[in-house]
Parts: sequence; structure tokens; C-alpha cells
Amino acid sequence: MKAFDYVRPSTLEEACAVLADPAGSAKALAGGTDVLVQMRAAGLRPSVVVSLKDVPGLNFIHADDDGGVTIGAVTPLGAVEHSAVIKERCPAVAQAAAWVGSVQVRNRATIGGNLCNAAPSADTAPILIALGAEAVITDGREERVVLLEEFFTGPGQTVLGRGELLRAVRVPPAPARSFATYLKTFRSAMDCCTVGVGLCATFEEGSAAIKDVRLALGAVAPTPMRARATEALLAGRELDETTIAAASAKAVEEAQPIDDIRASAAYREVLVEVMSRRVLTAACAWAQNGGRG
Amino acid sequence: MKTCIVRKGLPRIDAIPKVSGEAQYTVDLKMPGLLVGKILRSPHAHARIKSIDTSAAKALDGVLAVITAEDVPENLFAFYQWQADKHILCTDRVRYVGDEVAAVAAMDDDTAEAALDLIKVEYEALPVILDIDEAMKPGAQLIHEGKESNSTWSVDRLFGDPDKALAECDYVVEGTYVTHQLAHCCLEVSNCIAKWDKRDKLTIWTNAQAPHTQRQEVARVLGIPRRNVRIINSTMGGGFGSKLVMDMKLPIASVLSRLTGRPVRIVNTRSEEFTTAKTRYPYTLHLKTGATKDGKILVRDLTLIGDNGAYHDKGPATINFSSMMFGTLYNVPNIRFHGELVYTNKAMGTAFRGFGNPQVTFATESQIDELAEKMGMDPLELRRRNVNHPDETAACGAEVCGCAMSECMELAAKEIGWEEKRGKGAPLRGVGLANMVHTGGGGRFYGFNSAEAIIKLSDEGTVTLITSALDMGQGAHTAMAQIAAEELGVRLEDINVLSHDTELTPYDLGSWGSRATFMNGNAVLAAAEDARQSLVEAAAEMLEADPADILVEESKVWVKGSHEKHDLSEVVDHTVNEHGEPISGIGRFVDHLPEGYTIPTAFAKNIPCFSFGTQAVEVEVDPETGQVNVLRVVAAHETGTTINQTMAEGQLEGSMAQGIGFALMERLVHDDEGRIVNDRFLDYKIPNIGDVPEMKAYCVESVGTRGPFGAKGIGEPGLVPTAPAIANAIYDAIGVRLHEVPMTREQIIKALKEKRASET
Repeated sequence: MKAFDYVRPSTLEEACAVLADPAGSAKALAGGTDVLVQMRAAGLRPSVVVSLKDVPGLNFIHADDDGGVTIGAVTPLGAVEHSAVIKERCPAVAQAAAWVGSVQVRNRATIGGNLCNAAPSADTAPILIALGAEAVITDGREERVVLLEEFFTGPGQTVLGRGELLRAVRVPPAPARSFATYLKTFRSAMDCCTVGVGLCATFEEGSAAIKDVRLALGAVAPTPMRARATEALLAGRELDETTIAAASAKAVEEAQPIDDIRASAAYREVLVEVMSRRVLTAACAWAQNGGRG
Repeated sequence: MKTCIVRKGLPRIDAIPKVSGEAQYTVDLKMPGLLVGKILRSPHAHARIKSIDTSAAKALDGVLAVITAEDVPENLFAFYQWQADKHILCTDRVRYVGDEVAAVAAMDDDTAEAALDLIKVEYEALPVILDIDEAMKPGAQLIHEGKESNSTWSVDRLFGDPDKALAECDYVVEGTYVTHQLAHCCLEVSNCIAKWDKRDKLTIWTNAQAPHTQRQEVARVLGIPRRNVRIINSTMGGGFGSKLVMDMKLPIASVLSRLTGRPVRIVNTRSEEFTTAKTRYPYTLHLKTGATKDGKILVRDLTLIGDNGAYHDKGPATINFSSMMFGTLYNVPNIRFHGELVYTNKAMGTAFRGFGNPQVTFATESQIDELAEKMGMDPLELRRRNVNHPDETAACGAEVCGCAMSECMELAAKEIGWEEKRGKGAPLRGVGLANMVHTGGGGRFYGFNSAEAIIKLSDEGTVTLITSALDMGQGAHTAMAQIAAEELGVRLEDINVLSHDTELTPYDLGSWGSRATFMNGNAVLAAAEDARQSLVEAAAEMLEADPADILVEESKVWVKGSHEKHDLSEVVDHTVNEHGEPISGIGRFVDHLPEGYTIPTAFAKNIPCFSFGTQAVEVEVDPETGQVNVLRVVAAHETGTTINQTMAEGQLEGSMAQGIGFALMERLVHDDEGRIVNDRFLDYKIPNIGDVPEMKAYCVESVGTRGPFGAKGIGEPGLVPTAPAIANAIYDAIGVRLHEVPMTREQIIKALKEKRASET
């Protein structure tokens, strides 16, 4: 690891000022489970590491008045996993957080870090996209809000500009009669996903007919992606075996997986089909069961 | 057998220093003037070195030495000197990605890294050969110029008349099985500190599994007298065979130290560890098994090609050992074995827990199930009809003394629920089992097999045990201490074990081949007997009793029939300080060679003690994703006498987990240019706590071995039959047979697809 400066600002403004300095290449440090590994092994050579440890107002889980949840960017994934508010209002987010790394990693790693690292396989991304979550971005003075599905621009790339930080993630209130889940496949326990699928499906009252649906796929494109054609195919349809099969096949068409060490593109396509079918089948069973179980 | 300390699951004696962080590994050591050494490694799998320019690196502030092949002795090295094929630093050619090209010594890490970046090497690329078939083609690019072919060594073994037997068999099955390169994944990476002092003495601090032979190896490659080399072992964080043969960083650090006059430390990065710390030898195995209709296996015929990697190391020994286990399992009367080693432009292979046996057993024990299927027989029943028996000499010459194979197999089968579950379990669930034979006491491959130990008692009655058994995490120190404590009659906590310094410990071949408990344990027992005799005589004199009436237990001494117990310290203090007669003991164990033994012809007579065992597993397969979930593993292995129940179970559990990795996950993957692409734990998957299923380890005690208190080694067996047991269980679950490990999700999907295609 090359020598670097280390600063611990105590305000957002200060932190963003250091990150904005055009003279250096600053990197924000939250839990460090990605940044430190990349600095040791993957050629990340920041001139300044900006610790967010002492910056107030970044580590919180807030039950919003509208029924949604706002999660501070440096909230540990372990806290997300165990939060009563999240388990009540958007349990699939807790479920996705619990898939990341080990207990020890989740006690360090943060939700903001998982998103800002912008790995196509980030476990929290597909479900947050499916739930219509927003990224609250600050430059230390002003805030802007972007939909999380527009947050990622490429592997390791986000819309964050120089001097900007992700301050929080806002999950909107779950619509009535909606079902959300995240499913992943992996080579071993504590692995990044080979394919991840996040689903949020809203059903018409008393039926398995889809009112609104968002399906997001992880690790099958340069960024976590929304499967819009699949969503279009599903919209307004009664969820049954035929529809589910057609939708799963459509998801395979939409996915753009590559061959890498974790899986071949062809195998990822198999997984997209299987995982999409499984999440939709679970949703269908839930709707048919009157929105229970 | 009534024992006080042996056969108890006592806590390890090194637990507290390790858990508290007091234990010192080589990276923890501090010494004045210590420099950082780093190695410039080849980015090419095969290339000619046209030029090296080190001037800019030498000019960098904080750099004390930069060396290339010109600065090191020209000697070629290999584990067997007759196969020597590797320079300390490459002269004109690099042969795998990671080959050592140059090295630097600098004040700190950053400077050393910057210096490496400043060394300019001009390469001319040569054709890269990664595949054994390609390497063996006539006219293939030679990896070592001047040799006749890339096929570099071979061996043939023949017992009985396999062709005649094949003609007599009612059933013959044939298949090809493939295994790949695996990394040992020690928690502690390969490292060393070398210090070449003003008296021309070279001291190396490292983590060697065989410090005495590595000392010879360092002297040999540097061309210096062995007496000038001393190896001091730090605490070790895992070995698994990777720390048996010298790593080139030892002579490289030594030369850097000689040039700078300061100690130099070189530590692998994790990426270097994955790419250069050597691998398990990948085998391609063409196997034929033939049996009569009543299930007697008459013949086995195996052609095995081992991928040697770019240089020689333990290849011949590994393949020879494979052949011995192959010949011994089930005492098959007709055996043909052809083994061959082939150079490729990949990292070199070396010893790895199981030493060629897991690869061969994957083939043989998978094929037993295939044979049973063809015969319409329960695979357990087929195995029953062929088990090894105690006190039998196999057709290949192996002398099996103690043997609890039947007990192990029946126990494992019962515990996994064989009768209830096989062929009729829940859908997508299956059970499978596999047997194995392994050495339980090292081998006679060096032409001798012996060990020594020394014991001395302080005047307070504490015991110093000097043994050459290395503790690399397997618990050898605790086992040695238990053996000494049991025999001497002292408490375990009164024993201090020293094994770290070649100037202190007796010459020894090292801790490998499940050898330490059997060999070093016997030497420790002999040393304890020797010391005990002096102790009893001293006590008899002090207590005015007959030596035959002296009892020693738990560091108390008394005369039979008397209630007056004395502290051991009283006796030792008396004899030392009253009579000037210190108490010590020396013990030697020589595993005598069988009559007519010569290294080339000895074959399975090389093994002083065989150990048998069975593993049974239950799996669940997701046929849509190919995910295999190992639900349970049951291991029943022979231990002779279990020295420490907890540690023996730990050895079995650890090796079962490693076996699951071998079966389902682990493989070093190369790109077309020969670079290993999964050189980190993110993508080189080993089973972690979430992957390891419920495991039940049974230590099956048996009689008939010459180990200390009748014990056998248990370091490796748990790994050996895991993969075929899983392959057999997968077959039971979904009806597909995989002939290649790791059995990945993609392979299972592909096999299922092929099965469906063939059924329609």
C-alpha cells in the first residue's frame, strides 16, 4: 500500500471540500471493506483518504412520516439487517443486507459503501432499485436526489461528481398489496452474487393480477439494471405459470451477462431465468394466498 | 489401556499464545537493520529474457541492493538434485507467470515496490503451453531447452497379469477422470528473514515443515557448507505440504543479506501466494477396473498424467505415492500403473495434504460405484466383498498390519443412513460413500526413516522436550507433550516443547505424510522412557525403596503401598542439588527397512503403517442451478490409539472441509496467456463456515501398529475420500456422474442437460 494522507473531517462540508480538491485524488472511507482491499491489491492509490467516521448525520435509520425509510449512507449493513423499522417497512432490504459478506464484514461495511463501490453484483442494489429507492447526494452545501436506478453509470462508476457524497438512501413507502424479495445465487457462502434478482410486485385487490412491477437484476450487466421489457410484459397481467415463464424468458433476453471467473454468460442466463421464475412464483403464491406468507 | 493424559481431548498447549496474539510469526519479528526484500516476477508464462536494466532501481534512494541472475550462484535446483532445473533467478528464460527474475532490498515496502517498477526487463515471448496434451504432442515447444520432450519422468508398476485378468472379468468399467491445480491457502503466507553474518553463518527465520532438509537445500543451491546454515522456525500458520520444499525466496533473501550486510525479510503477498507458492499436482487419470460377477475386483489398470508445472519439485514422489495407495486399496491381485510427469508453463506442483492420493481416490472410488451400477449391486456390498483385512500382504507388497477398514465402512454407512436413504431418499437428495487407504506414519522414501528426541528435567521438576515434530497448526506439539507426560508421569502443563531451531533439534525429515505422531511420537516415547528410568532410580534412592515399587503420576512420586506422596520437584531437586546428577533422556526410533529394501523396488513396502477410513455424505442438488448442498459428512477413520480426541476430530473436520473444497469449489484458473485469474479469496473459493455442513468424525481405534501407544497419523486421511463420496452422492441424487473436480454448478447443469438429451 502506497503512503497517503488521512483526514478525519467533522462536518459534511469539510469532507466534501477535501473530496473536491482538484489537486489531489481523494477517496471517501466508510467501513473500508472495499476501499482498503482495493488499496492493498487492486491499484487504488488515493492521495488522501477521507474518513467519514466523525461526520455526524450519516449513520441513522429513520422511519419517515410517509411510511418510507431513510438510511444514512454510513449505516453498517449489520444495522440494516437487524433494524426493526426496516424489517417492518421493507424487509427485503434487511434480507439483502444480510447476504453481504460475513457478520464481521457487515459490522464494518456500510450501505452507502456497498452502493458507491458500484459493483454490478452489489447485493443491496437490485432490491433498492426494485423498491424505487432514491439516492440523496450532497456536495456539502446543497442536496440533489436521483433515483437509485440512475445512480450507477458503469462498473465502479456512479453519478457522484468530484466533491460529492452519498448522504442517504430513501426507500419510499411500500404500496398496499405489494410483495418484495431479493434472491441471489453464489459459489460459496459469503460470496458476491453470480446473479441477483430484486422484485417488487404490486397486485390488484383480491387477485394475482399485477398492478405495478419492478424487477432488477444484479451481476448481468455493467450496472445493476432494471428489466424494463420484462416489467412491461408483466404489467396488468394475471401472474400464472405461463406469464411467469414468458417473463423469465424475457428477463434472459434483456440481461447482458459476460463471461468471467465467477460464471459464464450462458450459465448466468440460465440463472436469470431460474431466479426470475422463482421470485415471480413466490410473488404469485403470496398474492394467491391473499397477501400472506 | 489405562492412560492419564493420552486419549484425552486436552486443550492444545499453544492455544493461549495463539489466541492472545503472543505467538510470534515471521512477520512479527523485529531486528535491527531489517530490510524489506521483494521479488520481480515474470509477467509472461514463457519468454526469453533479452535484457535487464537495473540502473534506475539501483539509483533510487533507500534501495540497498538489486540483484539478477548475475549476482547469484549459478546452481540449478530441484527437490531431487538429479532433476535440478531451476535457477535462483532466471538466467535467459522465464517459464511461468511468477518466475523469479530479479530482487531488491530496500528500507521500506514502498521503496522496494518502487524499485521493482524501475527494473526494465525486455522479453521476447515464446509459445505458451498450459495443457498436458499439447505439451506431449510431437514437436511441441520445449519448456526446458535441451531436453528430449516435455514429458519429463515416468514410472511403471506391474503386479500379477492384468491382461489375463481383464479377459477373465465379467464386468469391466473404464473412464477418464480429471483434477486441477489447487492452492494450499495457508492463513500464513510463505515468508523468511535471512541474515548472513560476519562469520559467514547464514541464519534463516521462516515457517518450514522440514527445516533440516530445507537447510540442506539452501546450502545446496547457494553452494555453501551445510554447517553454515541454520533455520529457526517461527510460529507457523498452516503448511499442508506447501512449506516442505525450499522456496526460492530463501536463497534470494540470503544473497540480498550477504550483499547488504543486513537481515532481509521477504513475505509473499496473497496474490504471490496463489500464483507462486506451488500447487497440488493436477492429474488426468485413465482408469479401468474389472471384477467377476460375484463382485471380486480382479484387476485395476491406471494411466496417470501429472501436470508438473514449469519446474521439478515433488512430482515423482507424489506419483509414486499415488501408485502405492492405488496398489494397496482393496488388495487387488492384478495391478498395472503407468505414471508420467509433463512440463507446462504453469506454477510448479508440490506436496499437498494427501500427496496424490485424493486425485487417485477420486478416480478409483468413483469407478467402484460405476462398476456396482453396471453389476446391479449395492456399491457398499461391492466394497464389502473387497475390503482390506488386518495382517495381510497385498499383491503389491504392502504389509498391512492393523486395519479397521470394515469397521470404518460399516460405521460410516450406518451413520449416514445408507440402508434407508440410498436410492430411495427424498427427491434430489442422495448419499454416497468412499473408502481410502493412506500412510499413518510417513514413509521410507529417503532410504531411511527415523527420529530422535531429547528430554530434560529442571530441578523444579518441569520438563523440556526437544523434538523435531513441527507444529504448523495441526497440534503436533500437544501430541508430543501428551506422549511425554503420559510416559514420565508428569502434568501436561509442566512440559515445554522446543522444536524450532536446527541447531537444537535432532536431524529429522520433517512433518509430512501424517508422520509426526508415528515417528516423532515414538522417539519422544523412547526419550521419556529413558528419563523415567533415571527418575525412578533417583526416587528409589531418595525414598529408600526398590525402583520397581516407585510410582509416578501427575508429577507426584510415591512408593507403592505408601500414602506419602512427594512432589516430583523434590526428587529432581534432591538428585540434582544433593548428588549433582541431572535427569535427562534421549530417545531414538528407527523404522527398520524391510529385508531386501531398495528405493526403486520397495514400492508399497515404503509405508511403515497404513491407515484406513471411510467417508459418507448426504447431498441435496438444485437441478436448475446446479448448486450442490452438502448436508452431512460422516468420517470414520482409523487412529490406532487416539492421542488427543479433540485434535484428531479437528484434523478430520479440517480435512473434510478441504475435501469439500477439492470436490466442489477449488481450482486455480488460467487465462490463455497463463496468468492465474483467481489470485485472491474473492474468486478462489474455499469452504467457509457457512459452507461446512454438519460433520461427524469418528476416531476408530484399532490394534496392530507400532506407533506410540499404538497411534497412527491422522493429518491427511480426512481429505482423501471426500470428493468421490460427494460424486457418488450426487449420482444418487440426480443420476449424473461427474468425472472432473471441482464439480461446479455449471458442470452439473451441463451433465443434466446431456442426460436429458440422451433420454429423449
